Amino acid sequence: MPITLLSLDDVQFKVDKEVAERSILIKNMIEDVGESDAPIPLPNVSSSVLKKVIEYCEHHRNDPVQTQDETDDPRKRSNDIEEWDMKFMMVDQEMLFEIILAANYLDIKPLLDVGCKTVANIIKGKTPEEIRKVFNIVNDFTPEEEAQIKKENEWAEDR
Amino acid sequence: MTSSSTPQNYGFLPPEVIDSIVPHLYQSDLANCVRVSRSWNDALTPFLWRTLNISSERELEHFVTSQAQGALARNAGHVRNLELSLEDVLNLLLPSHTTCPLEPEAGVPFDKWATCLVTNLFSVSIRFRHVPHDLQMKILALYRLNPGIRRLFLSCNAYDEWQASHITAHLPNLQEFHLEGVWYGDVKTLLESLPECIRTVQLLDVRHSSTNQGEAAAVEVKSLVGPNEVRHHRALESLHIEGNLSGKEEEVLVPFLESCSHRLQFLRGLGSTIFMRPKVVEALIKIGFGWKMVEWYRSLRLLSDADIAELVSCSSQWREIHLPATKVEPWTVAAIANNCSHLEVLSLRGDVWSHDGNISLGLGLQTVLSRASRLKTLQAHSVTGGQMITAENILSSEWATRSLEVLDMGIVVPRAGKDAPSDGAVSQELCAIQRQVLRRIGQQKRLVSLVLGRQGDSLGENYHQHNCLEMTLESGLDELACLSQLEVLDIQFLDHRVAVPELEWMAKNLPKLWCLRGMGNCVRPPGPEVLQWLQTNRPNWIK
Repeated sequence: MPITLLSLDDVQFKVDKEVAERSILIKNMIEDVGESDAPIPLPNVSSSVLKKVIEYCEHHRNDPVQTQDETDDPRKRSNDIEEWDMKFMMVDQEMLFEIILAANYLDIKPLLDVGCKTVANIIKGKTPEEIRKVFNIVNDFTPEEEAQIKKENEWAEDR
Repeated sequence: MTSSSTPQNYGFLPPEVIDSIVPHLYQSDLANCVRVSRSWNDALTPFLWRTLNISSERELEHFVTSQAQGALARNAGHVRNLELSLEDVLNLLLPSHTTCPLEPEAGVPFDKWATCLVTNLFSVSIRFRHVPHDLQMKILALYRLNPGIRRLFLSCNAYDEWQASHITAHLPNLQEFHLEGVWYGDVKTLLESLPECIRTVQLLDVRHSSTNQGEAAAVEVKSLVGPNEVRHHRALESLHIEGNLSGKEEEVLVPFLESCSHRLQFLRGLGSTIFMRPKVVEALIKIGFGWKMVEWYRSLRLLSDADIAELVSCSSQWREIHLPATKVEPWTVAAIANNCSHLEVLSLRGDVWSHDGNISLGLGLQTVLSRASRLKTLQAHSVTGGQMITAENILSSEWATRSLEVLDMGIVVPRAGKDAPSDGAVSQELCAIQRQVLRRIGQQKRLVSLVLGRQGDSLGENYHQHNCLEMTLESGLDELACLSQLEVLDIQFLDHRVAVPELEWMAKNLPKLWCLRGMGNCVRPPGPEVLQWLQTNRPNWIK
């Protein structure tokens, strides 16, 4: 049975239940309310973002439910993004963060993970100035303050 | 979503999202991040300090600067994981001390540190090659000022003076304890003095000696935990112990195991001979140990059929039994059949290329099937040679389980006109048997993976099985119509005949099937029309 989702800007999306239930939030809503034809309002997600999120869920509709695995060094895992996911995440930054926030709100753990890995990969190996440039951040430290912070944390720079 | 509508607001991502990003970053990345802006500094500084691991002289040089020490004083509360390999670092964390007795009645002098900078530790890893007495005392102080420690990893060679009570008795919340390196001392006391919330214990090389010092330690532990108090370890899930218990295995292990509970699922040790001690096994049965045989392999090689049968007979609580197929002999099979009421997984792997033509295995497996009502996985794929599983075995009684998810078993089923002389009556009867076997399999509605056909030596050309199930509609393929969960169907060792109608039937009735093994590589390669159908409709089935 298809489920109707209603975005922040009142756009309706019809998706299979199996696809919608990739979102734990929606899954729990359906369980609580029971099956009904009424659209499920998602007041935190705009239609452009919801469209992307649904595209992800459609692609991963048959994935096994993720189990909580805690590998020893999670940092290594940021390299293992599937090719499809990698392409899926090639969006502008605003969209990237919107997707992450939506995945967090809708409780879609694998999508949140892929989003966070993508952000981590952008940050990795960059100098503070490069990070500011990429994310369009204004440096509000004085040069002295920044030098002080650098000195404080030098012990961590080789790790 | 308004707070993040522009990328400049990245610093305001919800904390749980930042939590998910940080684990993918190296500490050096975090050191760069905290210099980006004030908001990034506020959000990420706690993560930068979460793990403190000063392990090289170069790092130490940067760490002892006045700026770094100022930052340490401000951020010590964020340190959750401490990895210690330099004594200087420990000295920096314990800035002041006075000497006073540890416990009035014990009278042991003890350097008491009035302050410790880090007091929120969750995990401590200590790697010193040698641990002189004063260092032990400092580590002890670190423990006492960090009662929240959950995980302790010790990698050092330690001797008698590093007494059991010093290692863990001061950590009331310890859940995980790893001891690498050689440890000499009273293992019995070491185990029994573990805190009650302990969940994982790994002792990789302990040398047991119950010396006077050991007894002294025991006395000391008693004084810490209160008189006559026996500690229970009902939360323990995993115990791995290697080393040498000087012939005192049962004396050391049994009281401790008896203090555990059914939560204990994983036990490994003493080169897998831990299970060879009758009293150990008795203690395990008493607490309802979650039985697995996986870790027995090393010792199994030395054991006879009767030995293994005896071990299997130790408990009727087995949930999983994994045995090399070479070890599946009559007594063992009978023992499994008699103790399978809790069995969920039976896996007999590897090849048996023998034997003497007895058919106990087929009968034994059928007995298991008729009793093991919780069975989910049965793997007996390469069991061949004389150890045949025949259609007669399979059909001789009902199966107790309705929850099989994985079935991997080669069944011998003669086919009309192929493996048996055909006249009308015989041929009809053989067809009926084919159908009955498939019907029996088709009752297991939860099947996800079905592997039929066996590879064997006396089976004819290319090791394929001749007298086998025919996967045709005529001989009963449609009996599998209820297998809506089936994802994998493997018929590659069958001398099968699968034509287009069968494939169409599968495509229609097995909605989740994504892997059909044996279409490209079988005795009789599929005809052109079959290949064409596959290429057009289910290209992945042909791989």
